Amino acid sequence: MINDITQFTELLDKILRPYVEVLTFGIDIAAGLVIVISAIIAFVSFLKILTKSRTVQTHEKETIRLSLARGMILALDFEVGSDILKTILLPGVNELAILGVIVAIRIGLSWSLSKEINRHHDIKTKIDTDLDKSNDTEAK
Amino acid sequence: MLSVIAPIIIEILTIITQILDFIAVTNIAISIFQFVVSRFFARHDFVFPHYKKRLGGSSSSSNRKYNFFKMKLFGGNICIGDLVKGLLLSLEFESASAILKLGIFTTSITLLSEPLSSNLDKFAFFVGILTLRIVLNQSLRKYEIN
Repeated sequence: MINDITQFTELLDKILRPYVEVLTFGIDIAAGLVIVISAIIAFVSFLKILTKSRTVQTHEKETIRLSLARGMILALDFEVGSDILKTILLPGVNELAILGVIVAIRIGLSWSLSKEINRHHDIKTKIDTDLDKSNDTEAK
Repeated sequence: MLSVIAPIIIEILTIITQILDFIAVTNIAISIFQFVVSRFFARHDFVFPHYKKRLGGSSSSSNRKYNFFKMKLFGGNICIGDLVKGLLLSLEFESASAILKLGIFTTSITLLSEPLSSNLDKFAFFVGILTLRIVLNQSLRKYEIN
């Protein structure tokens, strides 16, 4: 009975290991792709706004930065998923500690980003309101 | 399979981090160039001879003078804000690079079973950059600098 369980565990490990390796490979590449696509879009947008006025540039840079940060958060989510799968293969104390740090940073990053998005939204609303008011005054 | 996959992942992620570093450096260079050029234009009156002529001959010259100097002053403030936003954007690119370096780090220690100490610099870079990013953004938000 014990031999059967041991054999079954070994068999499961043989099946599981390559499967997890392929999965982590795919997830790592996905994280890389998300970051590359976000970065390229951000860089192209940055180059596009260079011809615009200073005020527009300053505001647009914040928008670009936040969109890149959203991509970064998504990539970090992928990395956390990949790390969880890797700890299945090697469940050591070091790996678990690293995973803990990554998750803590991810939480901090998400919190910081949500605050920034709210602030950016408030500023944008204020600018739009001021613009509408000035347009109304000019029309009158 | 393990020995084949891990180096490929590391190679791809390393190339991507190098591209991101290049973009961040380009971004910093463009922002600083813009800042220097804007400050140069803002400080030297000789670049606005056309405006000066117009100011001298017009009937509502005081009002125009006021608007002209207001524009110059406002332009200077916008320059600094623009530079700060540009540098923050570069920090964002570096943060993205740090996330991928973390991927390299975890791949090295788990799939390749390399010792933790040999890749600790990448992990320190990740923690350092992202902590800096969070602290900097929260400070800017708290004091409403940008």
